[in-house]
Amino acid sequence: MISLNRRSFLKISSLVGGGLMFFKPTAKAGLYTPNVKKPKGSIKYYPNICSFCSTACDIVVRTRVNGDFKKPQKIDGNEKSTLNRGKICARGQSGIRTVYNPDRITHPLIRVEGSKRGEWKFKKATWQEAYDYIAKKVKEHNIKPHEFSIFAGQRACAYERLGAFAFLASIGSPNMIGSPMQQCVMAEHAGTDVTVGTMTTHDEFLVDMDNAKLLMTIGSNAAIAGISVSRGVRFAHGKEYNKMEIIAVDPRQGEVAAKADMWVPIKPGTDLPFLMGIIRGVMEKKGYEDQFLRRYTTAPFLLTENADGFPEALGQNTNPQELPFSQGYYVYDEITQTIVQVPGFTNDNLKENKNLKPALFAPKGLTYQGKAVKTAFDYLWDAVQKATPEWTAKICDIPKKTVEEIIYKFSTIRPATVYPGWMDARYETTVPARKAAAILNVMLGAMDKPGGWIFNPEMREGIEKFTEAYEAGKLNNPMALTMAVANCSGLLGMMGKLEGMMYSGKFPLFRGWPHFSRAYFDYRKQKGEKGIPFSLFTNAGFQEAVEGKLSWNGKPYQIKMAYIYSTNPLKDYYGYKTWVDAFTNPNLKLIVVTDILPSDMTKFADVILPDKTYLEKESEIMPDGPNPDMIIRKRFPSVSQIGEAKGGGEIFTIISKAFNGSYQTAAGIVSTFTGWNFKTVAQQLRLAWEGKKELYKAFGDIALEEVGKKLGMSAEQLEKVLEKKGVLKLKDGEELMEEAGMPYKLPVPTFSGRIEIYSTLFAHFNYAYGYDEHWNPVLAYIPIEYRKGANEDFMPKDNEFFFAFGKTPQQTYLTTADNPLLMSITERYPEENFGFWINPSRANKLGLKEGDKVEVENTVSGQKVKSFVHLTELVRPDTLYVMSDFGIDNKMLTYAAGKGVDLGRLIPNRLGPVTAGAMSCQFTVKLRKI
Amino acid sequence: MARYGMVMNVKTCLGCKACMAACSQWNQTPFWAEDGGKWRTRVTELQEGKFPEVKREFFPTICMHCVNPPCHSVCPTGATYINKDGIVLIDYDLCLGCGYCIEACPYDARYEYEKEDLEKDEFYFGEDARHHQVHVDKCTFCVDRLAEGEEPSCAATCVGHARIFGDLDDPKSEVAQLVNSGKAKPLGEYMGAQPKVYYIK
Ligand code: SF4
Ligand code: SF4
Ligand code: SF4
Repeated sequence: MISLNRRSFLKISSLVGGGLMFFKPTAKAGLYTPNVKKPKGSIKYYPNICSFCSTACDIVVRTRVNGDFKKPQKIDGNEKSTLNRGKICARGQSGIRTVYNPDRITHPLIRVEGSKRGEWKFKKATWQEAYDYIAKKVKEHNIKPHEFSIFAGQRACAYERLGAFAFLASIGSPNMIGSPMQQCVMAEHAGTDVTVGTMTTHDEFLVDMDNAKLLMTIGSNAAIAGISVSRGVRFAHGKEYNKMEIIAVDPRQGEVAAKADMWVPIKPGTDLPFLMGIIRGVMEKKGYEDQFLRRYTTAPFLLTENADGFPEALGQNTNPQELPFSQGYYVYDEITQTIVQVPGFTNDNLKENKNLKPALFAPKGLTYQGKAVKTAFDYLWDAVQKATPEWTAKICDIPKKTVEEIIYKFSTIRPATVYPGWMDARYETTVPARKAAAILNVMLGAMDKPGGWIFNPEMREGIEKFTEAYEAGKLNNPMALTMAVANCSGLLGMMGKLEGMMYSGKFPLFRGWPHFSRAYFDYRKQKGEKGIPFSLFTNAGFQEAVEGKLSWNGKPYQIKMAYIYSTNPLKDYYGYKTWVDAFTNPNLKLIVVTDILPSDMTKFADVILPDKTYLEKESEIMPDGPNPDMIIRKRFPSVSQIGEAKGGGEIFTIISKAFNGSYQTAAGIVSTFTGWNFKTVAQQLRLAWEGKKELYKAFGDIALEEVGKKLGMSAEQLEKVLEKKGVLKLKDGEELMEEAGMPYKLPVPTFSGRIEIYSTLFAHFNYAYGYDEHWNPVLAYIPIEYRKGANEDFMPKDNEFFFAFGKTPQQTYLTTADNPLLMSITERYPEENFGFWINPSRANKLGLKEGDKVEVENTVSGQKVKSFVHLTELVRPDTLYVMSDFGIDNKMLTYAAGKGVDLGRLIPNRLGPVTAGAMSCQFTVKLRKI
Repeated sequence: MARYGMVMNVKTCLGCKACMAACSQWNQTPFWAEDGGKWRTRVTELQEGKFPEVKREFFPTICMHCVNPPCHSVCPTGATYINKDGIVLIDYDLCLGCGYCIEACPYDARYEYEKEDLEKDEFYFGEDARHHQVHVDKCTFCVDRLAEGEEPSCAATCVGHARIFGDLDDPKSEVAQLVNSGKAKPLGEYMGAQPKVYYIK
């Protein structure tokens, strides 16, 4: 029997009275006459897409409509949705409280002349005045397109990407900082992406937890019950109805670990060695899917050690200037006992020769043209060799028995899968750790089949189109190839955009200027540091660009204007002071911030523009996120105009005009990426740029027409259907998996088309950026240093701790922190949400009691924050844990200001080696009672 | 006529608190009240054991809609009544606000909707505010949603499928099957209130 903790629930004690003091006698005075007057209007239901996390659930908004007046009353999940299955989380439920949040910014604000950024001295302005101010500054400081950068935050990144691209294209700036892209997606998923060809695992596949029999989560605090409803419903369903066994690896017992059959609280920072240990065990027990690996992966590729000492596939394209496609690779055929060539780009190593049996392990002493060769799988075996159960248990500080048990389960239970992760602690090893997790999942054969990782329809469509063009030989010239790659889905699409467009410095649209990060890599090179190869749309080099340290082709490359849309760099990009310095730097001539609520960032703006909430917004036709079913959906506004707010889309066109932006260039990009008719797009964007139609209304109208055509419907018919149902299913996920299974029928979007245990892209980085273990094409163990003198064996003592953070299911940082309903739920558990979690065994030694005030110091950066301690057995004794959702300080935020811990003030702005994501937990902390 | 009941599957409750948010938005309950609000439904965290043998559980509760409700027997005005579908309800016009029921309820399901709550209700919901008089408040099984043919707000959104609502008299319903098979059991049976909310633990 479980005992009660602090908040009594059955109040058994109060059966006999007491504990009822809240019933104030004064309140009893008199009854109110019932007000039976019902508000005017009738009830209608409008479909929409939840905007509070990247799950993007399908919702229906019960709305009171009275003529033109619309007022939302209640949000529910859309019952027809196969994504979130009619459910939504607390944040989704709370949406209307954000719409009518009394703190909302409702009209443009201009910083008072003579005041300083950060002070919050603004005066109300009209939209015309705000525009005039922006246009004047752009002119006065002669701000060129490449001297402008957008911080495209949560709403731009998850729902309004098309608008953000159109906007940048219209002015010709390459400078997009995508957030949460960098800290959220890139930082952790790159290892998964290079293996299975995805780009952001938020969007491109769902783990089929309905059918898996074994699930291991690692580095996945937010992924399932932290919460993402589309995952949460499958997780609960699989657990209850399919008896899915759950292993949760986490130094803290979060919600998923609480539901797990086995909680494995490994030492923080040891994900990589842990996964290596499991891979080694499964390899040793031959518990992997042999046939799958031979046919559909790069595991049998023959590799040799190149001159720089790192593994390189025979046939690897080693030209750093080219995208790493190859003419062919080599495998050892066990039947003919010879080395044979396999195609450079295919889904199946047996594509051209069904009689091949590519070896997973090469015969000892095999050579090719005088060079010793081994398979990628051999290399993997070598890499994990030392990760015996004893070694793994020791490094991760868990019992050896646990390691052996997990190995046994993975070698015997099917379908088994590893959760790809979402919101983990970041170390320099995060990318290889994610790669290891993906490799393990691939070894289990858990790809695009029941119980595994199931791709979404967009991934299939993108790679299908690309493969057709590639195989037909249509991509022989470099520009055609670049554009086709940029247009493909997943990893290929990303690299096409990164190396072909953003970093090339040759892309015509950007007038010879690359993204500022590219110039920053040159700057690093001068200092003897490597570039950061996998850093699409990151802020790497932003500070230096503002400070005027960068140049390109001999010309200075400075950022003079920043447009910050729905993100809070001060907290979410870490290193509070670094960002304050950047945003108060006089070189930054203009800062424009668009948001719904007065975030910390708005304090540093020169101009603040009020955004609309999702319930007020229009949208284009959107796919259903990671849903394996092919579904289209659209937003339908359910709120009348609030104040003077304009949607982020409209604001794009306003800022574009200040730069004399061209809607035609925007139309070019939009039509290239969507395949929509250029003329239709141009006509509609013209209306948007002339201020006659909201940008997203324009996109919506184009999409209705273009998609309608394909479905044999008029735009009006399609709109009606979407408005009625919210989601329109075009094809079933199971059918798609059958017809277009990846990699069974179609390649995956990697440069070899296979699932890559040996990554052709990481190999490419070695030629382009120099060799580094962090992007070892197979896998390498990288011992981490928590701080100087604290290496992998380190066990903190006295007042020193490892550091871990996670999130609570009822919040998503800035997006929800000031929501009165969510904050109220949060405040029911103030200790757990605002305090530092510490194990009582350590707290006792330090003489700390529940709620004692403490100062926590980062031993690497010297940053300090203050809060209090929460004593709990749910965390490892060597680890201090805190929720990351809070710590916002703008006093204009009634509900959020001053609550919880601001991680931006504890975690420094240090760019990780592969993706520029912050190394957000690679340090230790010291605790002092105050 | 139905005999409505709910099964709470504690094994699959994810602790997400979507139910609390959902209930508060449909029923306009005082999420604004100090120290974490007043709620018709709560999810309480329980913990037992020491690291690493520690068990964490999320425990959802609502009004148990008892067959033999102590709140009902102590109500001096008859404001608390049981409707034809077995739902325990309060007639706000008859409620004196004496609070005997709050004390009597063994499951801590009731609270007072106070004067300042009425003001806040109007602040947050404007014209759409639903509460216009001080009264004792508790879960109604969302009787007004049922009338519209919809599930109770909390069960409709429950991410973990931990709240299973239905007619206990309909042997084909999931609730009836879970209850009839003995898989789901009421809390504190010994108290004799005969709840119609059952738990799988
Ligand atoms: S998981 Fe919650 S916040 Fe995220 S989209 Fe769904 S309902 Fe919204
Ligand atoms: S049944 Fe309705 S009133 Fe009762 S707890 Fe659930 S949502 Fe609230
Ligand atoms: S919504 Fe369901 S899963 Fe979430 S806390 Fe409530 S009862 Fe538990």
